[in-house]
Amino acid sequence: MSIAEANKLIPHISRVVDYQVTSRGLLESQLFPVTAYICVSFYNSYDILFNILKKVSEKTTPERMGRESRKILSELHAMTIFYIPLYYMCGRMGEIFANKGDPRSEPKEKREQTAFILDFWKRLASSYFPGGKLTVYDSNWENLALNQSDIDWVKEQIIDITPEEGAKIKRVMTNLEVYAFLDECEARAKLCDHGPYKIGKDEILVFSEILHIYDGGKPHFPWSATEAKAPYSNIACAYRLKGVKAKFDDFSTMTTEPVDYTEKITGVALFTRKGDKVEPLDLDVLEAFNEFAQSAQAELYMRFSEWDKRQRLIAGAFAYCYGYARYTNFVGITDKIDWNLTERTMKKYVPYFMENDFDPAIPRLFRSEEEKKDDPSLYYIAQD
Amino acid sequence: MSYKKIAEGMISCEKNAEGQLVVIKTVQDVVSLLKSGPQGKIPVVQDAGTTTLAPVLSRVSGVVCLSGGLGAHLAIVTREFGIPGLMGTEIRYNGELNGKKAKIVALGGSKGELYILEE
Repeated sequence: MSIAEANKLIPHISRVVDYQVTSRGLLESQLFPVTAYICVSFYNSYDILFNILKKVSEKTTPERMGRESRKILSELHAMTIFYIPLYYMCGRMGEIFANKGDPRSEPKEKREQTAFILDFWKRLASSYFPGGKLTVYDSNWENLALNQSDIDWVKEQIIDITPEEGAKIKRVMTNLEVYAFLDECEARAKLCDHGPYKIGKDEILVFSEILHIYDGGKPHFPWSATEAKAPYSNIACAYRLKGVKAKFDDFSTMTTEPVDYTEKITGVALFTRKGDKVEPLDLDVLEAFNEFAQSAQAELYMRFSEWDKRQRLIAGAFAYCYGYARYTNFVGITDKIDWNLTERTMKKYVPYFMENDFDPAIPRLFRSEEEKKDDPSLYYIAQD
Repeated sequence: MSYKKIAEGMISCEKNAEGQLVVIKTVQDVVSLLKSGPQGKIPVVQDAGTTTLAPVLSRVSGVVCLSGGLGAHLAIVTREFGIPGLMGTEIRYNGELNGKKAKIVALGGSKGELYILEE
């Protein structure tokens, strides 16, 4: 991809990033300095992503990754594909902003790397999303992560349930989501909602998936090992809903009309992935998942409560950037990558964000449409 | 004794809740709440993330949050738990909130109010 072609993408990517950040808002927590560690991770991503994607490209193509990631409980999905433009390009935005907002301050080598990264992302995204789209934003707010053959198979596994049973199942899944937020330092990284898959008149399937749950195997993060152990390391819950409209976004989050769809759940199926195989699970497994979630939440909370701010800042940034392990896992090179924050990040950005909660470039995302018209949030790449 | 309205906001699900207010300012406040028992409590928090209240969220009656909107993690999770999360609210009360008996009232249209019982 030439720099000119990359520059045609940048206004569109900027719009999607602007939309996602401004509609979600900036999240904070007493437990983690969320905005601060996100900013650290953006700068770290600017340092590391090119080398990661270059190594991945030596073993596969983004097209293959996109096609083969359309499946239940995939590590690569709408949000983790969005990590490429979101983290890297926001880190780049911060660097350029700090250099008087002049895109020519980006070294030529980095400009070429940026074009490479955007090319990788475009080829990956357009192979993943139906119709060659690049994001959920472009796909009429549908996050269709599965092919029809998988939908047909899932339909066969759905069992009828009452709304009361649906409410119980939702509570367990939500308890697991809270665990997921904790282990990921407030990030949504383990979570993926996708759909809606139309299966009948006024009937849809939607999925709620959770990956990298601690089941006693290799901990996802250095802090993830708890006394409590889940029965499986991942779970997908497919809900059959009647009379519900569902919308999705590029953080793989679902919103519904009506807002509370519990009474509209008519059926459910549970699945887990073991390597290449997806297996149905009995609903009885939810009790063990619920016990795990409650215990693991308390264990992780007590663990983090003893850490100081610097430890939590570094953990959050590490966790965010480890999101790129989904790419290296695809080609089996994750253990060959040093995932620690770079020396530059540790020396420059960790100290800065210990004292500052907020990057000065972030307000660029909140400017008016008029201001962004000729100056998209994520800056064009300078062409000499 | 009567209930006095002290705040309004966006509500994450159309349900009412009653309970005792617990003002959360630090992680240690949450640890204390976890140990003393979160049932029947309504935490009041500043932050719209999920992790502040993570180990107690499934057991409290409702949540009051002084920031964030319906897209915030806390709003999403309270909605999924089926408990009301009153988001982006500003409390108009100068007295001590801790321990006050309170209720969150859903008004429809994703709007809600917070009342406290005053002597």
